[in-house]
Amino acid sequence: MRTRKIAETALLTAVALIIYVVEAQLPSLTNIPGIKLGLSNVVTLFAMYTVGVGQALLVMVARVTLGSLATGQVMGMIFSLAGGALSFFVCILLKRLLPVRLMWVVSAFGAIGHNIGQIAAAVVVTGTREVIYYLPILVVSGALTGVFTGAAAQLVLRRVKPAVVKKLSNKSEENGPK
Amino acid sequence: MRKIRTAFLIVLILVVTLTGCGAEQVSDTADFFAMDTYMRITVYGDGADELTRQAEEEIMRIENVLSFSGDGEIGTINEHGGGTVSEETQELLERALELSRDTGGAFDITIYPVVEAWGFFSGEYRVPGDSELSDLLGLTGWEKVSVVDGQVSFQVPGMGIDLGGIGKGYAGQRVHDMLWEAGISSALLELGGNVCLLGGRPDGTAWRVGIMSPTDGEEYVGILEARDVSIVTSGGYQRYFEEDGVRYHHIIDPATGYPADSGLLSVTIVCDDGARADALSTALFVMGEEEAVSYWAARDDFDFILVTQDGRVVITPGLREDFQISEGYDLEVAA
Amino acid sequence: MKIYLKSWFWAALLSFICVVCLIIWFLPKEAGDNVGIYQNGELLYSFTREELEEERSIRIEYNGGINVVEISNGTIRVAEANCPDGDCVSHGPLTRGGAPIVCLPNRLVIRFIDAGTDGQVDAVSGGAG
Repeated sequence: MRTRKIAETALLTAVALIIYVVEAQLPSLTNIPGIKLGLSNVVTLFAMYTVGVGQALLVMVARVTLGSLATGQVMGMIFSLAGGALSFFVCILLKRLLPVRLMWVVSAFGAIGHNIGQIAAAVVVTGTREVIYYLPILVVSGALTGVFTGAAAQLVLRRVKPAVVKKLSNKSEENGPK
Repeated sequence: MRKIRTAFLIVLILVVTLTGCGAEQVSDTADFFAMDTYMRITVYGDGADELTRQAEEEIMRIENVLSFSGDGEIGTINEHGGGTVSEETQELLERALELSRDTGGAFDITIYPVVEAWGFFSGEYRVPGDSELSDLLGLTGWEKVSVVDGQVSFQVPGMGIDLGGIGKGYAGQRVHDMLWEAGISSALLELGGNVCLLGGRPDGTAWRVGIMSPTDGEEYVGILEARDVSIVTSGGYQRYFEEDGVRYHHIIDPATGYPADSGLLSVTIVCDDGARADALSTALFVMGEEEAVSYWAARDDFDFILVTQDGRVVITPGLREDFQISEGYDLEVAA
Repeated sequence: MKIYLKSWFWAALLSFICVVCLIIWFLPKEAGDNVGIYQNGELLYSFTREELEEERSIRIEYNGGINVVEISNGTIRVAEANCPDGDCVSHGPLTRGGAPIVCLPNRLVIRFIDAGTDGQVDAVSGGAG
């Protein structure tokens, strides 16, 4: 059982990392720091709903750490970890409350939480409160990208569920996507 | 049990990221006066405070060496009509003379006696007479300076040199290189109107540099997104005086001895060598639009933004993607 | 049926949050813009927006050089100076996004304290020489 978990975590981390590195190569959509699609969160969400919260957290932390090293943005790692932690916290709370078909909501609030966490870290690290100026636009971008990645994760879950997933809770089964 | 462990992990990450690194100084800024202008150096990254201090010291050191007044090497040469200089000054002099040759004398460090006569060094402005200027022009000419083995000599007694047209650019480049060697990947050097960029912003995006409007100091001709280059602007609007309703600015045309009247209001050079950017901004301003464009076309190893008296903004194709023009100006791309 | 299980509820909530944030984002941001008067790089005075509304005049000396800074109706400018070039006086009032007021002979700079973070430009080329 333990070996299986390690394999699952490693596999998911690898997939997340590839998506992350590829996305990092794409040109930035805006000139506002911190706005991006965050496609690798599809994997984190997927992990959260399949292999469990604990392993999903491991996948997220490993992806952020390795991803920062791979793209050479070590400063960004601090922001991403702070964002990731807050995002995770929000996701865990909402996930218990909402059925699988509302995964996109969990994702949206998670993404908003991520961006708020990032800004909080930026304020503390750079010591400049003016970064808060970006908060509203990052909340909006979090909501939009979160809905998008959430919906994507929902689709992935629906497609691969019969093949891979055996651990979904009964509640999730009942309210599964139509 | 697992939930407790998960919660614990999250708290741990938050604590580590928010407190562990918060104590570090990750950016520092120094404001100071040097080389007759207001300077601002901002360094991002580990050791920023120490490096900012070193950068300020380096600029003060260069100022002392290059200063044409007082005990600086250039001041001593001007006073004694020649003399020995350090290796660093020799290199810079040779580069300046090479740039003079390359620009056909449009940039000329020997214009010093003429600029002095106009009062731009002392602040006691006056308009010299025609005969005075033609006498003084006999004391100018980059080809009358020789630099051999650290020995500087003038062919005509009474000549003098002024590295003001290249010194700030050189200083910016020196500090840029120093910070780069120290492992810094993001810094912003504002030396008067000279901007020298190291890398991009700390978040990895390009720096945004406003190009000041020659007619209104509160506005920009446009905004340039750039990284790792020097951006130097020369314009007749920077330093000038008025007499009998005529405006005389500080960029003297070495060919006539009068303020350059070439149809350009300002010239911005974008180049990865700060000293060259500084010299070329003056040279191209003196040349005028047509000659400036053909000078660039023959080399094609730098970029420019020209603002003409008739309100056009002429840029090189290399800047097309990164230059955002303000309303009210017509953009033209040089070919 | 619990309302929080409805998709439309969450869609509406998220839209609402977005609209509120967009309104905040596009509101003119003028609060909290402090202006500082610096001599030789050291901050001598700083003023909040509200403080700039109070009329006052400040005399700043440096090695015999004198600048008289005047504050009124939310603007700050150098009203009088005995420096040779007088650039600081002809600069007029300080504006956001514009160049700082600089008096070189008297080593005086008046600028927005956090001018770099206004999202416009990081630096300006030209004019300060």
